[in-house]
Amino acid sequence: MSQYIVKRALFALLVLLTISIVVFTAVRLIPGDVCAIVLATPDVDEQQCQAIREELGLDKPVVTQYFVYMGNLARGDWGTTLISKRDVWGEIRTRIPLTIELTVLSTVFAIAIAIPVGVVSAIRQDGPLDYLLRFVTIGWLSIPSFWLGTMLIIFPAKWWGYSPPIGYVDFWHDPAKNLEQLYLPAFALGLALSASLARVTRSAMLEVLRQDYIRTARAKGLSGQVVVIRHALKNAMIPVITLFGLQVGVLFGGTVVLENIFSLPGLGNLTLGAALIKDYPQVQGLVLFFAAILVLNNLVVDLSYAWFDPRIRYH
Amino acid sequence: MDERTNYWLRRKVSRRTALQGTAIAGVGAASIALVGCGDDDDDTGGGQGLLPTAAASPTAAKQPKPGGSFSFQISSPPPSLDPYTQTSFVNAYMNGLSYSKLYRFKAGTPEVAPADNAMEPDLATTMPEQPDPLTLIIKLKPNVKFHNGRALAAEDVRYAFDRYMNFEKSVHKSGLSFVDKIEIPDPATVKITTKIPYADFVFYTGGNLGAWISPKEHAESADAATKMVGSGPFIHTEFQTGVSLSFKKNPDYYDKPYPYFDDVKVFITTDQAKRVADFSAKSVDLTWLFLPDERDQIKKNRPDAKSDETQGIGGYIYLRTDKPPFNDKRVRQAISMGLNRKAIRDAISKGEGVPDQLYHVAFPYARQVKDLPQAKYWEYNKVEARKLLDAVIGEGKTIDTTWDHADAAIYTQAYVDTATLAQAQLKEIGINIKDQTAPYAQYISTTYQGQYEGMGHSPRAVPYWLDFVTERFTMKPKRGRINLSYVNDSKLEDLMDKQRGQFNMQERLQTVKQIEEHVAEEQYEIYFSTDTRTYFWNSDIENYRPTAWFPYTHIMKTWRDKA
Repeated sequence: MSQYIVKRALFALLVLLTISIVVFTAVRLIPGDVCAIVLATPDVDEQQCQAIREELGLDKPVVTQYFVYMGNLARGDWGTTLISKRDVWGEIRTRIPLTIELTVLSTVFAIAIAIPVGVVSAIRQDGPLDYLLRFVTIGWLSIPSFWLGTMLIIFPAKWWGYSPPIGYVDFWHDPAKNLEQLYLPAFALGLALSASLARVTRSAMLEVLRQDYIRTARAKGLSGQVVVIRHALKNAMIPVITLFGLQVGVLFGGTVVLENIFSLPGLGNLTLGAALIKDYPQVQGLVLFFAAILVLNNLVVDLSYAWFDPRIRYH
Repeated sequence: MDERTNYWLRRKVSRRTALQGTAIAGVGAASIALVGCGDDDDDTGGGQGLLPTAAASPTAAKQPKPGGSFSFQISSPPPSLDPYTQTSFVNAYMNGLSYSKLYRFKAGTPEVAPADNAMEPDLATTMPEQPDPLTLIIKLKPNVKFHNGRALAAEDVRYAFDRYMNFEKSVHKSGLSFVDKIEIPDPATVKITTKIPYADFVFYTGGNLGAWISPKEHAESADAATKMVGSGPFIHTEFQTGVSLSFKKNPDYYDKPYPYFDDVKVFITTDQAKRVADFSAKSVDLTWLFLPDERDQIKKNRPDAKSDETQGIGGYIYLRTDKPPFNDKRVRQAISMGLNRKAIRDAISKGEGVPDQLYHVAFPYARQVKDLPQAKYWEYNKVEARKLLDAVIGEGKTIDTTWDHADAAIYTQAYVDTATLAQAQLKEIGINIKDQTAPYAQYISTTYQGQYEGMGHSPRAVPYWLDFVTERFTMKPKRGRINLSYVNDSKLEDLMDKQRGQFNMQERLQTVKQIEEHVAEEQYEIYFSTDTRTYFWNSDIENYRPTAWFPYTHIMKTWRDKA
């Protein structure tokens, strides 16, 4: 097991290194002069631009720039943002809790909806309830989270004059207000995920419910509830976990739009803002951070298989 | 005092001017400036007249009620709060709360038309004395303190202007290139010598570009981009990145009895629907820049709110006038006549708005397009447009060109839709356009730097000083910010040189008219239409009116009736 983890960790490092090269290169291939972005006006001369490029190290060859960047990164220096001169890692660090909270809440919504729907749909296979739930989940799957988020803003304001509290409040400062600010975007983000999870749960449950050990469990006289929850559901979770692992990236992607719609200062908000003004130190830092999170997430997902299915062994 | 001496003082706001207007808001380089306009004269009304008059609403003599808090929304985060390195309009909103200038806009209260660019002394005691055309003497108010407790002296003003002109990262060098030297005869006096007689001195130094006085100890600190330490009405207390900025009353403010509010909170709300929802839910006191659809929605949601309906400045087309085929003015005129502006307004802004021209039609000194001798170039006339093209490129032939513009992320969907509609219209007269959309950052750092072929399209930024035309059309180095249409026109250059040195406003406006007509004839830039934008504020907010100008200093004059 530990050998497997070490192997995967090394592979993850390689992936991150590759991503860093790709991102570093891609950002520099985007047309446009960074000088015009930093100074945000055409009212600049070449001398000013040269000073800016020197300050940012852009006057050096790209390969040198890359090694300088990676060297700094290894020392914990992620650089500073282009215009506001804030610490890149500082900007990321302060926004992590909100985005994590939002994705966790979304996941809670998604699982709370998906698992019961998937299970009920499976045990009522081809019945009216199954058809209804399948129809509904396809509907959820078709609704983009940004559209749902916008609707969740517009209609409560129109009908009841309600809008989530303005100005972000940290969970530890005021949990109730914090949750009131987050439950709508979390729901919008979680709904689409719940649809795909529900559909996979249903398929996996159907497969498991046909297994011999389920028939055996029933033959032993166990109640339907115990058979479904204790024997079927846990074993049906492998594909659900796999899908969830893959969807974490989608969740993070969804935060980019929803955090902006709901004015939440998370990583998604930071990413969009940085991309719009081509703040490449910030974009680089964010992409690397997201990549690290996803790589770690995949590792955790892989390791969790063994818990769900003890037959799985790592070599 | 000779005529020049009292130039700044004599500027009066006519009744017509006072009745004009509502607001402009803009976006610096990323600018969408908005001007509202109304008029009580029939001559500009009629079928294609302006919107219903947003008349000046004289304040009832109410007793100000100090105290309480005030909140408003801005649509994007300030990229940096450092006035020396930024031209962003969002910065100007914020800088206006904490920093002072020599002069400031009068607009922002009910008595003053929003598009009126009249100035009043801020740090200065009066308008400048002008012993000769090149010398300006400004006396500073006594007992002015920065928010860090240090007294503000003339040397701080000199330092600020020196930094605007010489700091390597300053973005205001060209704008202040008219300044020759700054001297300090005594700690309360600033003497500025200009290189040329410059009639826009007060308008420029009272504006938001290269005008804020930020002290040396703060300007050169690491916090300059994220904090403001000025001498203005509100002390900046917090900047929660991407969320909000907080301010508290400056108890030592030199201009008593202002400010009235104890606290001001500014929320950064990028999503339009969220801005609508927040105001509908009474979460903020003031919000602005709503197109007709959102305006109608808010009016339904908040019938109790006060509002001012304004005209917004749309966009314009710039083109390579230094190369065929756009070096021939007949092609440019044909493009203008090939645009069905009314159809675009119908599609974008419920038909609201009027055609726009070089000097925005809502300004007191500008004319409506229909009053220009060259008005025919704004009329949609495909046949005439085609005739003009035939004369240049040959009968039945077409022009293949490109149209560069940004995506909707910053400039809004209306801007992109305008491009789409205009391209389809121009295809009908034989101009085949390849649409080239770029992300905002790419657009602003390539196309907006002049790196394009064919045509480009941008929202307008309409500054508060008449000489702004120079930055658009001059080829002289260090005088213009950018000349996107690559105009090289000695006649226009002479006119621009002439107006900037004319201290007699009536004479100057005559020159401005000549410029207006010349640019209209040449169609160096092809303007779309204005649209309608609306400001909303709570009914208990008193002494507030939208302003065309970005600095929100005038919030200091506002109070809450229930405070």
